[in-house]
Amino acid sequence: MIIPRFYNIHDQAITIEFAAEISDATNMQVIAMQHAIESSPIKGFVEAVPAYGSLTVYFNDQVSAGTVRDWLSDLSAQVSNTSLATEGKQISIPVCYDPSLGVDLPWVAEHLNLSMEAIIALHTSIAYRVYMIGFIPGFPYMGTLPTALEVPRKQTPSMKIPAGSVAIAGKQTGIYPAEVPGGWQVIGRTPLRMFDPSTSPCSFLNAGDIVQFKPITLEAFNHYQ
Amino acid sequence: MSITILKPGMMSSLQDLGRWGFQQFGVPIGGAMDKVSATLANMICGNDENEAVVEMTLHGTSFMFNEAAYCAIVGGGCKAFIGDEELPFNRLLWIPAFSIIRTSAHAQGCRSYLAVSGGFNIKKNLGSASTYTPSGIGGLDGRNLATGDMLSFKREQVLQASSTLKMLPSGIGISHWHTANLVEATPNVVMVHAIKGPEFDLFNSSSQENIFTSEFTISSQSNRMGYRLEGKKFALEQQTEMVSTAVTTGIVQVTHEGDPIILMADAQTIGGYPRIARICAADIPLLAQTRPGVNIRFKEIGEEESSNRCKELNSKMKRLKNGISMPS
Repeated sequence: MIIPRFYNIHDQAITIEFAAEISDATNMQVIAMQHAIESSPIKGFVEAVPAYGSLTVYFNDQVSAGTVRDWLSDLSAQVSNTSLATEGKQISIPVCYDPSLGVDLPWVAEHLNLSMEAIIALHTSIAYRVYMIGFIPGFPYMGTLPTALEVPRKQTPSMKIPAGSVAIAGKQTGIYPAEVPGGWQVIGRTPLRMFDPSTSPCSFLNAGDIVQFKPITLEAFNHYQ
Repeated sequence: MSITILKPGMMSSLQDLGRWGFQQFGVPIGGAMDKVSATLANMICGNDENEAVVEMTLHGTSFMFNEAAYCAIVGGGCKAFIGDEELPFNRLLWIPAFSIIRTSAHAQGCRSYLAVSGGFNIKKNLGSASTYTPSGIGGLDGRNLATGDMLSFKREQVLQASSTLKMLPSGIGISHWHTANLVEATPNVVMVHAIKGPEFDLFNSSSQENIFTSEFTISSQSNRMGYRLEGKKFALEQQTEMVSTAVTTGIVQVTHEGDPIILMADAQTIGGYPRIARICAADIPLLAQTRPGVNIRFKEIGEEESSNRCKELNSKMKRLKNGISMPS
């Protein structure tokens, strides 16, 4: 049983930190807590934002910080490891690993002393948990990568990483939802749109989802669009 | 009814009180940098507090009223004129048709807000009209305003100037009443109240001391996402990698190079830098009205005092709202 730490990041936002670590068990607790909060929200509750090992709860003038903290404290005691029944969606994501799209695949292969085929086989060998969506709209932080796939971030971030780029860094893998600067190593690209404000939900993935990458050919990728 | 943007000035954009409920998908809250001034502008116009307003940064904006209408300007960073006539802030204004409002330099403040009576007719995106340019959401096609943009009003009927206004020979009407200016920005050293951040204890002792005693300059590398500060560098007692967690407006995070950044309205939802302090939410409007180049200091307060300052600001806003009487 983890005793969470509570702290304020704003006069109207409290973070419940279960553990400052990247682990499936901790993240499951975070998502279970989010579901518990959203299924019986207190008056003045605004939204809950999951991260790897913490959940942050935003509230408004209709409730005091003290009341929210007491409510969260009671709820977190109820959300034990036994109540983790809520599971995320299982989602298959097509990825083209052609080096014309996965521009850093040759570098990664050389760095790890593996063939590009072996990198693709490793990346698609297991399903990944979506720990959280952030730093920009729709970006899923996923893990945990097979140890053999761990590479450092780029020394100098790329100025423009195309939307849909599937990338790896350390123990994590992610998908860039829009063209932004970034420091992760790009090994492929998905034709799927990760963020679309005109759809509901706006993000293709959600914290707690389980993602399996499926390799597709460049022809299939082009056909997709 | 509408206005047409003749000169967009520096980063003028449509904003409301923010986009709530989508942070779990990585979408920032955003909205007006100075939500107090944006709210006041709407209150003066008799609007809902969350109506979209035009946020203007410093000066250089001009726009034309295509029909006569009521509006209000609140905030700082510029003076507003129609011809040679200076328009007062914090009052209800009656603007004759085809008037051109232009803004010129002013030493105080940083952002001004234009509200029109009835509100702008802006399609909401993810529950808000706020412009968030990095993702192209909200406002006009998710971008800042440009020359030639026409902003139509929700209100369509032609209005008459109220007899309760003081009418100038030029046809401009000005309410006798005005609201207090709740955000007093000065060109001198600005003092904001701050609370120790979640990672305060991880910083070395000189960092812990300097954050509440030394002065910082707001860097020109500042925007709606965050204010970079120049001054003393900060360092952790022991260099550690943080596990990313939620961050929000007011958080003072420290980069690997030791530079503090105050997260502002368009703050990212998740961050991985240690957080040495957080600004009292009631002082965010003041920071939003503080421009690059100005020096700031942090005065340490506790959680309870911070919360009390927020409640105080809230009741001031409520009192102001009750004190405003619209011409009938």
